[in-house]
Amino acid sequence: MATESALIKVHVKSPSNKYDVEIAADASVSELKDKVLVFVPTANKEQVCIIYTGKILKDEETLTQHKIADGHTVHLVIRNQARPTPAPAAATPTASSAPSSNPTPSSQPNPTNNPFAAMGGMGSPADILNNPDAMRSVMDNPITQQLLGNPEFMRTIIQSNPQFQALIERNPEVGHILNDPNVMRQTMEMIRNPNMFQEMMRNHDQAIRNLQGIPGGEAALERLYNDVQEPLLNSATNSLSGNPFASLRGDQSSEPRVDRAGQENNEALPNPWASNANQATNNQSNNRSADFNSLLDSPGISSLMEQMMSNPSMQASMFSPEVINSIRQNMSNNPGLIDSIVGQIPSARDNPQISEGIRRSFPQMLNMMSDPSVMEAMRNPRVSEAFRQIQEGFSTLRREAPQLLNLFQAGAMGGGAFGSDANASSAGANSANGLADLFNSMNMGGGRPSSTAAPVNPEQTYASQLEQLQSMGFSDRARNVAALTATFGDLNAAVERLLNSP
Amino acid sequence: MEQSSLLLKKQLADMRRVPVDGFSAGLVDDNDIYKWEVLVIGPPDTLYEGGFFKAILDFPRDYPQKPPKMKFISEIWHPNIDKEGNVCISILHDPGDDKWGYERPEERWLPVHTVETILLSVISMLTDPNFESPANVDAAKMQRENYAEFKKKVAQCVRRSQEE
Repeated sequence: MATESALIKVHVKSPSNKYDVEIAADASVSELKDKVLVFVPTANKEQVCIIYTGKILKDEETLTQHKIADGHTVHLVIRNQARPTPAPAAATPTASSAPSSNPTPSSQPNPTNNPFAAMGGMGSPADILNNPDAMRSVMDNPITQQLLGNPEFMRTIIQSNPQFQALIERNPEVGHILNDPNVMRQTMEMIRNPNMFQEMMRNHDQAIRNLQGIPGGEAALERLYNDVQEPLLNSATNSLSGNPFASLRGDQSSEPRVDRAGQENNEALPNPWASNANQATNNQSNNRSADFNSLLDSPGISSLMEQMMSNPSMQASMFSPEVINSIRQNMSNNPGLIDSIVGQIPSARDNPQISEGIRRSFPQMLNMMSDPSVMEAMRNPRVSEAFRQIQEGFSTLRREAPQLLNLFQAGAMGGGAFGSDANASSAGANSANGLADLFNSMNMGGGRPSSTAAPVNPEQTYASQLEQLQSMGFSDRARNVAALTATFGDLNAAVERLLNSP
Repeated sequence: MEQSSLLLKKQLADMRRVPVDGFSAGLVDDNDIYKWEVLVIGPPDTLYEGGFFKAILDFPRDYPQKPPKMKFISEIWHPNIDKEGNVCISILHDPGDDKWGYERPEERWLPVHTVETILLSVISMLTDPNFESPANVDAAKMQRENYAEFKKKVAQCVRRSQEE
């Protein structure tokens, strides 16, 4: 938890002098002025004027806002005091210093530490939360906006909330979301703007409906639900009732509060387990087997693969020996399981040959999976990459030539879901072999063009670009060559690269 | 992408890192590399000291073959800046021969000029006005004939620029 952000050095250049100032990277302009005043004791703050990239910086703006980074230089001008100075604006400095002075607001439930206390006359917090208009007006308040616009501060609030802490501890991926300033900003933006809020909700619902529509969408939803929604809701409903600011308020009264966002979400993300669990006819005795039942019932095993490929840790846990063993046990305890899986695959249902092939190959696959060397191979990132390419090729196929797909579909369910195993063990039906060839050729096509395209002599290949760079004033030939090589001769990208590297 | 935008990007990056005394330059809109916003700091020991004068630099697509146009947004009273704010200095004139014979070709636009050299010329123009070819005849006349009034007028602009 970084309450102190990194210090940067800013050069301040006045017409006659040059000062170096050390300041937090996310400090406000007002704070910068305070530091400058140390060097210019004769001036008062209203006279100090900081200029950067053609703009006079305003007190309430931040250095990050203007992209002032370490080593940058700003101009300083001291205005002459010919005219009467306006009354000092007292409100801004107090507001801007609030984030740094209150790093842990919730640890001391003291009304004066409550950042929302600054907005007097707004009614009680509960009223605000129940009234969208009041909420909006709070959100539109410049003080709030300034606070919320500061991701560091928001992070501090969230991290100092015990419920959230526990949630993040259990689910590091949620922590990443909360750490992402973009997500934070978007969320705040959303709360502020009711239209956007509704639009987001609509989009969200629509997206989920679409997701459910495509094959494998259910599987993705399941994962989403398990990884994010459930822990979030659990921790939220425990005591927080979905309101991250609950503990910020001095009063910890337990009156029930309406939280629109939580409810909407609840509806938007259907619990896939619920419906599938009802369908699962047997094996309710063992939790894990019920899970796998519904998982395998889902028509979207292939999409699950996709999910796994993009998430190594999930992959590792999927193929852990215990899981495989449990599947095997499940299978042997319950011969009807394979039948129900096969029944879910439309083309297999219509084609007894294929379904028979799948039925036979399944135990073999599972055996293979329990083999440590196979598991090693499955964890190999390059193998994952190959899987991903197969999946990509397949989706292209689905898009470009659906009629072809029908031919392969049966094989795809057997061979696609557990692709390499089917190929290696030749366990799949004959159709899987054709599919394997297809996959092979796809993999070849989608291979690594970059490695073959590397020029033999970059200086020769990029002679014209080099000349242009030279004429633009990039004189370091070695760096030019390096940049051009890295960008495959794209002049524009190379310039970008050269400019961005110090 | 054109050479002009690459060149301007390089100048912008250079200037962000190492700004030049006397002015500060950035883009009006981060997506338009051809439109620059410049804040000229009134040079010390001149009438313009203490003022910040906002100007826009408008670059043509065929920069650096052709010069940019510079226009002050802030009100500024100067013999070589016309009443609309357009800056009239020889190095911003299209290359080639002057049809009136005032300027030599080497005084006019040359592709070697950058934002920095242009602004340095403008700043030196604020310090030493060129009376030979005034763009604001009234200002030139006032400076010659009624310097006290001229001073007052400039001080007014400086004050106004500080209030922005």
